[in-house]
Amino acid sequence: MLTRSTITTLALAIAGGGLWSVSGSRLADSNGFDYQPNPLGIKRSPYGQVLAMAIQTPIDADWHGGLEIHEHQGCGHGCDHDHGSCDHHGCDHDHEHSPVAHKEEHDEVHDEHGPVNPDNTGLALLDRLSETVSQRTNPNPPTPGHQLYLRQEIEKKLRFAYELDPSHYANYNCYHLFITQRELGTHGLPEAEVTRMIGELADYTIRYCLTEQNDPRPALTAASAAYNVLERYLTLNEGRPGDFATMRGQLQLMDLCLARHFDLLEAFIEDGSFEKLSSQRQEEILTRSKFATKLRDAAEKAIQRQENQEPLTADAS
Amino acid sequence: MRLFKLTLTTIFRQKSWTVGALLVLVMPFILPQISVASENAGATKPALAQAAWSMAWLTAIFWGFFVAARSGEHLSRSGLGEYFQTTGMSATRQLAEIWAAVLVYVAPLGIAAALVTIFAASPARPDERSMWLANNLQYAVLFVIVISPLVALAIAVASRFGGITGFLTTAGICVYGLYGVGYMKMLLNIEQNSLLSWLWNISPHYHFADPTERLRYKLGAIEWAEFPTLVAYFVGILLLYSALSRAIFRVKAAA
Repeated sequence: MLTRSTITTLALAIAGGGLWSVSGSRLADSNGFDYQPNPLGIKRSPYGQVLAMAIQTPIDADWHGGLEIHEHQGCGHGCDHDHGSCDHHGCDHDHEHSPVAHKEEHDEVHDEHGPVNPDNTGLALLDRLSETVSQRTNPNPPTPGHQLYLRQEIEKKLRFAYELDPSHYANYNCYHLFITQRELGTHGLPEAEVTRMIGELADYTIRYCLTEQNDPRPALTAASAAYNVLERYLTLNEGRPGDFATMRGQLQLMDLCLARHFDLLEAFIEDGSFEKLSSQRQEEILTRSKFATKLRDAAEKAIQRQENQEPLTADAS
Repeated sequence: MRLFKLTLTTIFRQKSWTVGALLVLVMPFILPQISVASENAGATKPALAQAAWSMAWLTAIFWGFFVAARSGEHLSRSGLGEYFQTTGMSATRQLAEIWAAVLVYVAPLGIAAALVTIFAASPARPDERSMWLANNLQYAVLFVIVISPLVALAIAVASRFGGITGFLTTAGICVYGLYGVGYMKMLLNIEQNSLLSWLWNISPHYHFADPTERLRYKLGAIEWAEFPTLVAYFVGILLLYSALSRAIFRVKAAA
């Protein structure tokens, strides 16, 4: 004999199950179940932007810990890779220089941040211990398989950093670099597929960055994304007739991003927000502004050069 | 209502509710300082809204379910449940009274998050402000409907299997429903698996009640025509979990 309590429990379970499945299937029909998980909404949030900056250090550690071993062995320090616009570990300068200069620059940056203080034995000890536990004592360079694994790890972190903050200049450019550089990337896709990926990445980045209403930095990332696509066209187009209208359109997009950057920068300076940034960040914005303008001018000249070359190529054929 | 009052007073005197109140009412105003809002004033309101709702969810999961599980465990292990049963209070009524007492502390977390977001982070445009208000109220309702059955389940599981099991079970189900189902879908997109697909379909999709993305992009209120379906979805889960909780709940721990 069923008790009243059992009947009530069963009735509740049946009613609940029915309601859940009926409304669940209605929601499934309207594709309501499809979503990208984003714990605590951290990706693309103001907190995600800070985390994205912090994640540069682990990326740097993977890079120096694995991929550069072969280079380090020759010169005692190495590090002659071109980080380009990546700002791992707070050193967001171009690394196109000699290993010695690089070391000096690293030292200078470290001094700026002030982690090494000979008078502070506690801190010096921590630095030494930190170096001890991260030092590679294995004399053998990583095997090709291990290098591929390390590259995959770096790529995952770069993608994660980009997802945290797609408007971050270094996050976008590092991820773009990883996709485009065959020796760095891990996918081995054909060039056409790489071009499509670059286009999609740039398109999303530009649309995302141009929604920013106050900070002038995302517009610079958008300009960089527009340039990267244009550069791809220019590279692919070398020596053969190309779609110059598309290139000009891309250049206009870059102009739009730069104009937005300068508008926002002006407002940013006027309302005093620029003053609140550290001198390093201020310098970073101004340097990237100049760099983006130079890239834009160089791109225009490159288009003109190819446009002028095209009839000659056609005549020759 | 003796057990209700007793549980209510016990939780109040334990004072751990002050931590929850601090997290939801104060932290949303502090956390934006460690975000880019310190450099970009435009990000302050989104950061505040995100912090308020994130704190409400985290507090409900880590504090609310813990308190519920501890109350359930205490009832069955201390002999209190058995005592109340001898006074004529049925097990169903005991579960309902403890559940109501814990909800008095847990349900306001979502309401507080909505109020903080409405009063401190509303958009400047009047039409967007009214959408913001409606959207936050919608999420406050969804928050309460999602959290309530899990609180009952925490009490019930803890009364039978102990406080740690009660807490971990409900916290796990909640985190899985909020984020795990999304990662499972990503797995399914890569490789189809009928078992996983079935599991995904019957999983509680609590992410519908997470407002952080919707508020950030100021997407406006959820369509009022669709909102009842969402409410029905979670009420269905509420009824089922209530039945499950009643079936699991016991007033006396096994010897």
